[in-house]
Amino acid sequence: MAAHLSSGRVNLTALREEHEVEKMFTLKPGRLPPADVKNIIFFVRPKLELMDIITDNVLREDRGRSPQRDFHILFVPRRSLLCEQWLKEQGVLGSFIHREQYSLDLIPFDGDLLSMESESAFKECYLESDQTSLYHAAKGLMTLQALYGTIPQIFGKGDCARHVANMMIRMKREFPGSQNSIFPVFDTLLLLDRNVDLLTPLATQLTYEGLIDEIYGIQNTYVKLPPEKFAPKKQGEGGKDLPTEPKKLQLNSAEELYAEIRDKNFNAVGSVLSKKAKIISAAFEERHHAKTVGEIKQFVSQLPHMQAARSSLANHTSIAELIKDITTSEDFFDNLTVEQEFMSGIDTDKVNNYIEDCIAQKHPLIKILRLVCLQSVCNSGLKQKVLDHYKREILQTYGYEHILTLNNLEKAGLLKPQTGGRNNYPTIRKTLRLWMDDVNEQNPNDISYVYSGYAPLSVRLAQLLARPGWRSIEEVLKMLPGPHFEERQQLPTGLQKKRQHGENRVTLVFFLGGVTYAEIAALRFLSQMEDGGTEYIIATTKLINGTTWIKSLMEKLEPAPF
Amino acid sequence: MSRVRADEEEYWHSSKFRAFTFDDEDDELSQLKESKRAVNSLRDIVDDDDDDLERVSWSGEPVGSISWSIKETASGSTSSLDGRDSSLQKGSSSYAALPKQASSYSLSSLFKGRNKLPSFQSLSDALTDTGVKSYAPELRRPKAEYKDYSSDWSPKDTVRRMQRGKVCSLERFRSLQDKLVLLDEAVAGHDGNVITAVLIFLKRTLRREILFRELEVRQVALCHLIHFLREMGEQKFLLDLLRFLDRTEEVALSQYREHLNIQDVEKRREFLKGCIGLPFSAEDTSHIQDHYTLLERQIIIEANDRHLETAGQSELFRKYPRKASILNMPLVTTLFYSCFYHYTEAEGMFSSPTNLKKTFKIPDKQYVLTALAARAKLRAWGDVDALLTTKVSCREPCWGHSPKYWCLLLIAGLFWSYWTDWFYSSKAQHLCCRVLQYFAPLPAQDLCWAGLAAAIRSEKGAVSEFCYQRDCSQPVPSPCTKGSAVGCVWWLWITLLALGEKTHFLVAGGIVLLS
Repeated sequence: MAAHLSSGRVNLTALREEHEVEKMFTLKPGRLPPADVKNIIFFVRPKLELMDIITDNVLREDRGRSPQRDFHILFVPRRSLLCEQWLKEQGVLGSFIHREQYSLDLIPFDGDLLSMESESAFKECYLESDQTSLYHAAKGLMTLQALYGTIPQIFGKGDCARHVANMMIRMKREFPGSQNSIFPVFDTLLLLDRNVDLLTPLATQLTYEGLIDEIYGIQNTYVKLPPEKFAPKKQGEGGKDLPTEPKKLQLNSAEELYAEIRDKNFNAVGSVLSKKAKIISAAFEERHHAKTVGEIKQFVSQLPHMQAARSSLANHTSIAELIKDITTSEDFFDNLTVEQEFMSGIDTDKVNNYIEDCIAQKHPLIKILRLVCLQSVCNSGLKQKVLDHYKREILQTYGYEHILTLNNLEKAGLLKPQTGGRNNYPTIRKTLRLWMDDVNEQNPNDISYVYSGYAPLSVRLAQLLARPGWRSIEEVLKMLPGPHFEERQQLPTGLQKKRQHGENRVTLVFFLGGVTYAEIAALRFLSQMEDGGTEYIIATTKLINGTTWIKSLMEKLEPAPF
Repeated sequence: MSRVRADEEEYWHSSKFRAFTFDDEDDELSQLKESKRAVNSLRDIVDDDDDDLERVSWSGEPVGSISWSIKETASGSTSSLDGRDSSLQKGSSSYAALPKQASSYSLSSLFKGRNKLPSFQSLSDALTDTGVKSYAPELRRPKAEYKDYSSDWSPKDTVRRMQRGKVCSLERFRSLQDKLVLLDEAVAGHDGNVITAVLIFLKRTLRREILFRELEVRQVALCHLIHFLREMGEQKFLLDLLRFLDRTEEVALSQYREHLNIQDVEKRREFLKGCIGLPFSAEDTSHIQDHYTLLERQIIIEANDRHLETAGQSELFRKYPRKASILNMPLVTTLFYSCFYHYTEAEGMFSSPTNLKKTFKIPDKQYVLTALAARAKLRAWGDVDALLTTKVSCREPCWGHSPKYWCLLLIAGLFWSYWTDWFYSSKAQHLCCRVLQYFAPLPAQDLCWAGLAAAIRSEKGAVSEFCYQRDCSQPVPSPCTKGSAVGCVWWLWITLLALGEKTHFLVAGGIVLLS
């Protein structure tokens, strides 16, 4: 058996052992690699691009070979009719003996983080009105409830949130047997639409993890970094053979140091790293003091741990250096200045010089779109004249075909003309305290540290829900798109929690349409606050940043390679 | 193909199933192939519980013969029984059982007009291909199963079953009313896959006008259908639908999108020409018009220049061969190109920059910048001189400067950043001073900051050169504080630090502190 995987990190180790999977390959066009196997299984997301690759694979399979290999296809998380239809049109559908689905809804990424890794969820929900991903989200939540108990309270804001809550209630009604007797782990579920807070992902994240994602892109907890800084420094080799392969690192909380610095503002990372360096070198110095055999033995027993810590420190120092090169660049600074001006409400209603200059210098289009959209969102839409000006400049410089992308952004509400001539953003900003002037990056006392001044709206909503409750911000909630609501799910009396004094409530926050690392950091910060009283677990359709998000909304301009 | 056939032939003749000959007519051939395939694959899945396909039909008789004979006898008959699990070995029932479709919804029966590639088709394809319902031998099944396979699922149950990935036949929803109830149920379930399945069924079984009319009041379903049509490339159907809905702008954009699939430039141009008349919004119309005009120009320029280049008569083209064709490039790139190769041409020529500027109403600033970049790259310093003294219209006075100076300053900054790249690539260090001269007309203090900062960025050596040429020791007067002075000083500070230029840092820092 050979399995072909589309991108994604489905853990197939168990499968491999149980079913004697011979080899695993990543999906790529062309002839399938030779493997002396009978069955070939494709694990794929239901996406048409991937179907084209598979078609290519199948068509190039050597029909004459013996034994002939059989094809099977497993869709993750659901079978898609569209894909099967597509395969049929290509004339290969019949080549698949089994077409099944692997219902993988929520994938755990960390102790407090679940993601569906469905890139197109936002696009589907808001551009195509396709709510399939919401259906999967609801199913995932049902599974979660089957495992961790019924969640007694559901809050939500936004149209999609409303849909998901409705579906959950419906599913519960349709499967009365699903009433379980597990003591509930979660007290509250908060469903948030991404389009309630379009602003946050557009801004540049300034936490350590957020910046790694912005600059190098974290894919399924892995990041690929330029290798130069990671070259092993050995004497005599004189940098002869520098590695050319990108350095691949896994990033998650299992790494002690990373767990400590990932959510810090980048400006606070340096001091932690240097402190750690001192501690480690002090620990290594210990060996000189070890006199007796017992002491030496103790030292040696600690060595593996110390060495792991040292290599982890070396890695993160290198990453921090790489990031620092970027964050100290003039352009990063200019960009950030403009973003912060917009977010604090300065000059959002006229054409911005920096954006114009960037267009003139042909900076990457996504960067331009991020800034223009940010300005539009911070001004509740741009004045028609300003919008037209930007549009013209973008089309003239980057090509007229981008009119399709601009149209998509307009549909998603990211780039739009101001209607009614009223700008609600200042009211929202003030009421929710979205802009904090006195931000403390080293020892933060507010979530605004994750964007060095801007407090993510989505997380502010979660914070205010916990205390003092949404009733205090009714007016602002009405200005944000979509309904807000509360639902209760009855628990049998035996399962109702009697709260001990000082015990934290647990809230599951589900971001429909994606969440950024900075928002996660902000929620973790709230969990750790001593007097917070609430712990947060985060679930989402996809981990995003401004770039990947805008990219998902852009029109694919190259025709398919087949 | 022939090789495959030979293999099959060999297999076939060596097997015990000799009921078939391969001289059948074409339409039957595919079925036979399928049955062979079924036989081939049988041994692999025979112990698989889920797939009863072959087990069902395999009763010592080749599968194809059944369907073949049924074609003769039962053509045109419809059945709602297809797609059932028919685990025949489990028991017996008076029910006619069918081979299970490989697809869990019996949707393969819903699709029409697929490509016929017999060698890749599965049994289920072949069976449905002929438009014939096929029957396995009559066998009985237990009562319990009977219930599960009863055909009177309500629309709600049908949808629910489909959501769970179970087999379902939609054919029994005959009346419009039934179909609409089914659609509404599917929409209420929010599972896009099921909605699409139902829509494909409706699309096949309803007249267009009725389908469109009903979808108009069912926005969610409508969106799914539009998405489906777009992805499957059923452009004509899609346009009909959008036209019916009177969503003219979407019709226009959707049609315009098509041009991306046209590789041939001439055809693309023709297509874009056709797009001009489409009902875009007022703003977009002018962009589409521009797009067409641009491509038209590019085709003319490309033909001309390719000729010039191959003829080898033009020195410019010999010295700087073109890296790529200008076709399908954005407007600003085209302008750069024309400033580079056709700067001196008369305005009447299509390829002249001034003509482009006029036709596309390119703003002064954009034009000057692009021209500067192009001319400086060619080291046509005379043109650069002229460009820098052009009057540039500016939006508004900035930071207390007159528009003219501000623009110059801006241009200087941008110019520098362009220039830096070439400087590094060409290593033409002596040009540095030459370029610095262009900033002579600027007021000393602005020049100090803008120019000096840029110069440091480009080359450390240039700084000292520059400092000699200009008197930078003058304290900066107070009016130009915001932006130009403070901004540049800040920038300077950072850059100098980054460069580790302690001496210059002290000099410049001193000046800053004085101001």
